[in-house]
Amino acid sequence: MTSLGEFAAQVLDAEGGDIIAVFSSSLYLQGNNGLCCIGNDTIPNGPVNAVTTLDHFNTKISAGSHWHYSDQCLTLADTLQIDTTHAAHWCAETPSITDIDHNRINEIATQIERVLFTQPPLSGSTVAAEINNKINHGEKQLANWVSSQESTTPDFIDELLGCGDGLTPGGDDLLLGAVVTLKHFGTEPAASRLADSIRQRAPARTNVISLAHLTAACDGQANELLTDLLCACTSGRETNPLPLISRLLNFGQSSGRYTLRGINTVLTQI
Amino acid sequence: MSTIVNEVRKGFYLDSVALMRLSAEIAAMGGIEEAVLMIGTPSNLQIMQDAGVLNATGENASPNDLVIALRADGKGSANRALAHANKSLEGGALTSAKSEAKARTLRGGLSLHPDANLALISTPGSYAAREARNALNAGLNVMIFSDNVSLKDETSLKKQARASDLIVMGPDCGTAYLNGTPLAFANSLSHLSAPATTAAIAASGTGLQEFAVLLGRLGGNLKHGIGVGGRDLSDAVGAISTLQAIDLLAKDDSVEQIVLISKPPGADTAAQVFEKLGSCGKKVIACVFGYSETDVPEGIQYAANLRHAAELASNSSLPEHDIQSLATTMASSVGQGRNKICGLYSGGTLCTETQLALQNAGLATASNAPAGTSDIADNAAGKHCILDLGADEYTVGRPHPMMEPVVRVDALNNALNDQTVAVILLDIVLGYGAHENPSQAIVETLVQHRAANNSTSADTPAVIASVCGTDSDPQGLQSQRNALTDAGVTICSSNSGAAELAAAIIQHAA
Repeated sequence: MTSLGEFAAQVLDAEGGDIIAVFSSSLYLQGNNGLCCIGNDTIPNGPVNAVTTLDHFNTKISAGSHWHYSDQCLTLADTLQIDTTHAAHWCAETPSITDIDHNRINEIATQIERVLFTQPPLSGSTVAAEINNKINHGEKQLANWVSSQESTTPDFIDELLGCGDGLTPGGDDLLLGAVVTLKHFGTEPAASRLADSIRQRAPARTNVISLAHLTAACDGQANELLTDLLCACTSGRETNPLPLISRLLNFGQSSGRYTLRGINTVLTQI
Repeated sequence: MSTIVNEVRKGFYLDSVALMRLSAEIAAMGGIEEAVLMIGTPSNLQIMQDAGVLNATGENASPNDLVIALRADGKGSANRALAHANKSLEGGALTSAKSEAKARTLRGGLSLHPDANLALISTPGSYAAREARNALNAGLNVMIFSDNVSLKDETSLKKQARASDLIVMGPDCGTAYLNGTPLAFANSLSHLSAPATTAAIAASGTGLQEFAVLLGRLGGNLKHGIGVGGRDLSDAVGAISTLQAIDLLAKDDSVEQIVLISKPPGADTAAQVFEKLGSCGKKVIACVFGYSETDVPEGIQYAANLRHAAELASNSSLPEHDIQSLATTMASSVGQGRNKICGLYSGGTLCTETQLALQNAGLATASNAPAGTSDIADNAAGKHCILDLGADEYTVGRPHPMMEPVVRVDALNNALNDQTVAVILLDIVLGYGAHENPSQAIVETLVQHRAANNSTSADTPAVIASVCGTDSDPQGLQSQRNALTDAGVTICSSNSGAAELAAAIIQHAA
């Protein structure tokens, strides 16, 4: 294992549990403290992730089998052992922001908008159109809510949570991008209010895998693809944001796109 | 009467790619009106309800369940689709099969191929320098396909390589030929039988491809094409790889002539490069975009463009249209008010070459990748707009137009519908790495436009293209040309020839 996220480490502390999902490049462990994603080097460093040098996961291990962790050794389904001795503890960079450079934020938001404009979501079926409509509507409500800086509860998140196809629904990904961005810039009380609402409502409205990533996001923690882009908003103009936007856009089947939309919704309103 | 069938798989997770792929497969089956595989969250159940694919079975799903929901024209179709879904989910067909053993690291690659002397690095830019350094430390020459490598890393890597008598090609080196073997985006030269006695040193991409293609058509053959990257000739890098390439080529007795293809070098660097070229003992041709003949030192042959460089290297001339005669004919069909050229390029160097050709003809140009006296694209009013659609701003999050020509369709439609455009210029790049049928999207767009507008020739711009390809390219040069010709495109033998024809049409129509 090469890196271990903060939330993933807490899961391993439980010393054992079930393997609830197995994919070709990753699998999810469930413990008393939540979920941990064990993956090969195609998954990014992240709060819920543990990156390993393994190739594939779905040839020897099946969902429903168990995992154990002791003496720096993770054993999966009694067949695969992973040494965690040299795993670096990974934690998202959380710079202290004293002065927001609105010109820089506008510049990056414009670039994200251009990229999203050239890559519209897939459509064609009635269901795809319904998903697009719902997420578009939720996105507009999110933008209005952030810009109004009202002290209202963001009830509209019910529409976004769990909305969309894929393992982590697009509505969740969008909220994840938004809440991490609000946290990054310390936009209060919106950041705390949105995080509290997600923590309260998400368990009943989305699956445990998406919930694990959302829970970390509510603490301001997200994978390096997202945090690198946010840091580019505050780290000076020498960093070209386009490669960072591209990297995030191409993450997952559609997760990156929706996460970018969440980021952009906030960037254009703060 | 439609039939709705649902199945719920408890606590079942499938990755997004597999979910969407299976959804699409089922939706495409005969008799299926709507099909979806989604997790059973309240929000998704409402969507499925509204779309008319949910029944009582699906309504009981929870967020951790997978719902297979479909509506079909009858029970038979529905059951067939459900059986297909279940077979895929249970049979493991959706998971990635274990691939054959492949090296995942440089060390692994060297253990599989201990005699290798070149590493091709194609990783996200932030990792490329580290991998290149490892390769150099292992005694390998390096071709860095990746872009976004810092200037500092590039310079440091190239210095290390030169000190070890190795070479770093790139970064952002998209094309190379070593001993006639094409690497990355490159045209096949396998059909050529002439002795390979020419070597080229170029920045990286379509400039080298166009030169190799034209040289082959003229009876020559390329032995080496060394891509040094777009910044190598800057004063910041100091032409480290160019100088190393000249030294290496000078030692190759089979190389009789060296062709330099580049943008203007930095002032300090130019002197070093030309001095080394002049003393390398080979015939040297310099095709430096933006240079005039007087800018090239004595003893080095000046080439005005890529076609000219190939002609000098082969001592032959490329058959080209009688440009003035053809331009006169085509200009007579140009509609009233049409007086602009719109270039839509997938190749950066070809875009540069076109801008310079139009400027040489006295036309003002603008581009997102300005060359010569071009203005920036935002100031295109009153100018001929020549776009590099492979530039960063067009390729973030989407494929390069050489790999996916469809990304050029919107721009082509805009140009076709622009009442001021008289000529549209296109490049079609064939070869390894390029799309399997790059002309298809162009042809379909032109045919659809003509059908939708019931156009006469005066109502639409003339479309002129050059095809950068060879007879042994996987796409088939002749079939690509034929398809374009059938769609009304005028094909020129070279990119510069196409640009010159476009300029002549504008001048005749004025």
